[in-house]
Amino acid sequence: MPREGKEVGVTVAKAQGGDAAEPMVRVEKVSKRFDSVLAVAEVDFTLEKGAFLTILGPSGCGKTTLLRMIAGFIEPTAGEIWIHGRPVGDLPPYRRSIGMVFQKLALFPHMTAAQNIAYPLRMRGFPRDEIGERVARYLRLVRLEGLGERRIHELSGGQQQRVAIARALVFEPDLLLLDEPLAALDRKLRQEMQLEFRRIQRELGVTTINVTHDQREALVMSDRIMVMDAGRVQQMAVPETLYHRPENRFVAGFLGLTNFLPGVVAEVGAGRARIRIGERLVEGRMADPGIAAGTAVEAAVRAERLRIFDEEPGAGWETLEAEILEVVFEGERLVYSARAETFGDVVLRFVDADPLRHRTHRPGERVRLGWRSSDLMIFRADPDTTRTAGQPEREDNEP
Amino acid sequence: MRRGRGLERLILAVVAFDLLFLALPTLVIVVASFTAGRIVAFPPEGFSLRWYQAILEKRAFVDAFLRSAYVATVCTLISLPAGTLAAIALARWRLRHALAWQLYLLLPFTIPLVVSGLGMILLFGRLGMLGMLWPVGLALTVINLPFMIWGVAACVNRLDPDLEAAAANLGAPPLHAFVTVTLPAVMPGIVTGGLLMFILAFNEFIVSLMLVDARTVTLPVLMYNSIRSTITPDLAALSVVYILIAAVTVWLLDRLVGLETFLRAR
Repeated sequence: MPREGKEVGVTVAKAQGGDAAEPMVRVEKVSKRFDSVLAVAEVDFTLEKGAFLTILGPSGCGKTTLLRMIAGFIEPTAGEIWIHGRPVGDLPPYRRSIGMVFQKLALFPHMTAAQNIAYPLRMRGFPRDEIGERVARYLRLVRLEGLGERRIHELSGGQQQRVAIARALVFEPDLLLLDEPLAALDRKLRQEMQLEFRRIQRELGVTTINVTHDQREALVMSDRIMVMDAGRVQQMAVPETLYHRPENRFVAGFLGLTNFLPGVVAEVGAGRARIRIGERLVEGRMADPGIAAGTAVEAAVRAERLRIFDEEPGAGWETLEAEILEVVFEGERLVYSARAETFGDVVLRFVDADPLRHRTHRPGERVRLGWRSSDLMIFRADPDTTRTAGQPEREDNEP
Repeated sequence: MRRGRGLERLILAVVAFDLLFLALPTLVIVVASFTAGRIVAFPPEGFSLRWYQAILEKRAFVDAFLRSAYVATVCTLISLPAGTLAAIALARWRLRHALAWQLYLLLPFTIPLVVSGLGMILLFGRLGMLGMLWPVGLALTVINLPFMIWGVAACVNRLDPDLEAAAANLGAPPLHAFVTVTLPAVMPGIVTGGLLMFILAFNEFIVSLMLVDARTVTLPVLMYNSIRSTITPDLAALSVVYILIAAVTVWLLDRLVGLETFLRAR
């Protein structure tokens, strides 16, 4: 199956005929105000049937509030939500056809795994035989055959996750919501469960909205990612576009290990610009449109796009001299910090993804760093973030 | 090394003394109840079950025992819904002035029982309820309710706050969610609190003393009255009945909730 959400939507639309032209989820100008705080501000998006969307953002960005409004636990201050072509503003949560996996799973502790999974079927008045048959089928789907009679506290963390997802899907809801259910797991189990959630989601073709602050999870699991900050949508795109073509400084900083270099636009061309950073004049790609000469900007370059050169590289490359400050061994790669005097003493971070093949450079050594000018993305400087300008952003937005 | 050994022995001795001291009054009374003599003595004179037979034959004791059981039952039946709902509301809802409510519900703990008892005498006298038995159960509910609330609250606080949201999400309307999810999930706390309320009411003395008369006397009050005249070995036998009831309660707690859960909740 292709990774791009749009293509998933198109294939399903073809299979279903005209009916599927209506998106499964439509969120229109939805806002939520808590007293004086605008938690969600005029969020707009649509989601095709069968697509997997991840809402990604730091804690407090409004992503969980948005998810809970879709589930019906919080009422929007303004705007409207449609599910399967129907406005749900007047529907209480128990009348919406939505399955949800909660942050702490919210499994019923006094019931067995099978009873938990049967609960939504019982509430919907399914006949006894069908409840038994479906519970067995979904236990198989989440690979918990034979564990149905276990109590919740007798199951491991990963098994509990599987019960929670089976319970959320067994009544075949229009929409599946995931409220960071993987956040509490250790790294290894989390990565395993990410792939498992994705497998199940694809097998059933259920439209899914996942909420997380973990960029890796977003990149691994999603057809599309929506980045949120301060209640607003910053960018919504397929993972590759989001990573390689961020539209603003926040998105560039939130995904990946990114160096930010404060500068001023000297000269503007078609989609490109020359900017002054420290003593240097360098060329880059305009990521924010409409920046005029003289504007304060931040140039961003990903750590993995910077390389050490022993000799001067050819055309299309920019280089500068820098002094290694620190080397961190991370197993599969080395992460260097280096100071570039000609860039106004800015500290750059870059990675060596193949440390066995290369000589390790020691602190104090001088190296020549190079990057393609197309890898330098130019953003309008964010007045809020100028104090941290030049500091590389943290790569893992994990707790 | 040698000094460590000495310290270890000292600690062991202190612990052994403490354990013995905790159990000593109970042990003494149990042993004394089997006396064959006519007075309570330790060590007892000979061995017999005659005093157990005596309490069964004494009408006043049996009646007082039944009255105590009745009072404890009334108290438990009132506190189960009152304490459970109060605890869930306090723990779950973002109540306005939640702290004030909490303090208000803990009020019975801060007031001496004598004062509470006096208040009840005045109130019950006014309402014409003095001399009736069931109001004693009501009074004991009032003074012990914080125990019930604590029992349930300890359980509610350990629950996932999204439990009811999950039930709603899965298709359960609010009342349905409460009955099928919230209530069963806090059942260990309700059982713990209920048993605690029963045993406390069964044993309660001060407020009972102030509220009962000769016709409605409960067992602890009757025992106290007997002690003031003569201390006979039948009182020791009665004490053993109390110890048995406490043991049964602990056993029930273990069977229904698990002692481990109970002790962790405190």
